[in-house]
Amino acid sequence: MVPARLSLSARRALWAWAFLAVPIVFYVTIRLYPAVDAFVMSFTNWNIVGTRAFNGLDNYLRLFGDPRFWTVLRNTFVYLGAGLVVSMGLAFAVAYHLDKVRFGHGFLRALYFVPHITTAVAMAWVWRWFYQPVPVGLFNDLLVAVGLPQQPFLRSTGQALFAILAPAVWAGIGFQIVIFLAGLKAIPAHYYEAAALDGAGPWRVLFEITLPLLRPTVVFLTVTSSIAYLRIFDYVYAMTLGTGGPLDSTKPIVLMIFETAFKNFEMGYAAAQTVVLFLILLAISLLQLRLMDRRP
Amino acid sequence: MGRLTISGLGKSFGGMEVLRDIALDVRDGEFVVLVGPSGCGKSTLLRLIAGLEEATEGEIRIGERVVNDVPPKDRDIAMVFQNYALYPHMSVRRNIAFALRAKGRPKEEIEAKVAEAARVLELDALLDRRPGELSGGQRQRVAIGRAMVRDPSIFLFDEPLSNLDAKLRHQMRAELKKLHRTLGTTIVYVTHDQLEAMTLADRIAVMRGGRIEQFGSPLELYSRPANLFVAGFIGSPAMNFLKAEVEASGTVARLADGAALPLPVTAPSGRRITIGIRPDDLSLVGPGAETGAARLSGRLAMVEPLGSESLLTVVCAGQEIVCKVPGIPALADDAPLSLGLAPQALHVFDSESTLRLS
Repeated sequence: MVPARLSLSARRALWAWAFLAVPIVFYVTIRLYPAVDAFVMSFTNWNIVGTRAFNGLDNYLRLFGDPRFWTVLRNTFVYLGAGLVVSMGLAFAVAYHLDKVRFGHGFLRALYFVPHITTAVAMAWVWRWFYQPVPVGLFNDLLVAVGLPQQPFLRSTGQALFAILAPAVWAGIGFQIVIFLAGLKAIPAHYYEAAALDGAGPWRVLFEITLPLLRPTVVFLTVTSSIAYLRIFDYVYAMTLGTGGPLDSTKPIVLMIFETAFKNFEMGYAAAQTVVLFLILLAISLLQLRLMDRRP
Repeated sequence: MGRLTISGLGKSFGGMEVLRDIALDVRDGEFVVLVGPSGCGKSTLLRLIAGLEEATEGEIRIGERVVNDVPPKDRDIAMVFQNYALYPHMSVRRNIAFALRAKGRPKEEIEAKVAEAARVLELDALLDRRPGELSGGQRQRVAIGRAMVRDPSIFLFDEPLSNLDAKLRHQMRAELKKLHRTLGTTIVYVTHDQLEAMTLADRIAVMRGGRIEQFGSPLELYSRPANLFVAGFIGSPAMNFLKAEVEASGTVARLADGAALPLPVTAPSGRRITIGIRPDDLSLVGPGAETGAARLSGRLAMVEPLGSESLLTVVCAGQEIVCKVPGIPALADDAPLSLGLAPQALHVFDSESTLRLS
């Protein structure tokens, strides 16, 4: 199959390409082509069955003039900002302390990881149940039991977004904890020993040694988690029964795209929204990499 | 005061005893090397002195103070780690200043001390670099600088030269010795390299199996090793050992092939002994040489020319012994040889207890 006359390195490269060919073809057909097509589609008017009519920048102009888009964009960034800060902070705090625990370490780590591998929809429904009023909802039962007023949670425009974010954070930190633990383990013990001899206190060690040496882990988790929060959909869809309500107060951009495309069948307009989301993801990822991945 | 007194010290990990009954008295300003094969407990002993491990029993005193329960930072010691433990994300300057900043010293004092250390260690030009941009030898110097600025009463070194190549190691050895002379601070230094120990130390503690086998000056260890282990460990090429039995007179040993060697000591007759002979104490003698000196005869097995000298492996009484001779002798394989030695150069050990007989 491979001509024997080729040099060893050429034959090796040929084999490598042979093995890569299948995934490349697959990737190009199901990822790259639709992505490019979506970009083209964003300059057209198309209702999924008819013909595509080129309409220039109309979709984009309509989007930027749509007050719903700005609400949704704001929601998306609240998911990102609050989700990132809370999840990274919690995950690091748990990992930092779990790293020092020997007894039950494996069990605890598994316990934190379980939500990450649990179906989002199942978890979302369980949490939806937690948020119900007395006597059904666990949280309100607890609040009432300690003499505090009931909270509307998913029924409030002010609380719903955070009520949805909570299970998403809870599911996400399992993964973040495991990655943080690996990062912490990779820091050689002699740095800590040297610091102990030098008389550095725990805060100085944390801020001057642990966190700087953990920078690659932090960069990786920040970028991957940001992308995840910017694309949040499943928890919102499951917990608001597909509405993103009340009054769009929890609707993220992906849910808006979903509605535009598959409820209203405005494919061109939906494509324009995906292009905007793509650009936001790209810009934020690049910015984070630039800010945080400066060589130590 | 840089005096270190250790008595009855023991350390176990779980049920594993890694150090037992360690006693060591290091004088102020002394350079003491802990040497031994890997797993002998030398690094553990250093870590106990540093406070990175807790002693199971016994006492460690620095100056007049018992420090068993004193945290590492308050022991007035500084340590240079085997892999230097330089913080990769900090400049050389910040690395050196770390301990002073941790102590909250005033800025001017920190700057002055860093500058002084940089001057002594010739690091001035490197202060703003990161450890990753430095060579092994430079990193080594930064690690020393970081220890130096703390002005400790004792320096601890954990195999600091083992990551350097042979040439650099030689150079750093000389620099360390010079530094010790300049600073005059007590140093406890761990290595597995007996040559490093011999060249650096005022006194050496040879360790094996969690115990100190002998503690003394390099010359003492070399010329009067206390037991077979120390005899074999110190000196390169290693000492030759010949099994023998003491004659009735108590002053002559009989080798396996029947040859007799006069002993420098009187040993109990009939005792099984091991005779140690340093390769340097043996010389080639011609057939017509005078008969006063002791003789060993054997056949040449191998010649290893080193340039200015050669190592000859000779089979004597069924045992291989190595002999160091000047130049590169022209000898045929399997040639019969006669080796001469002065009876005073013999080291006599009891084969059973392995202790020196003297």
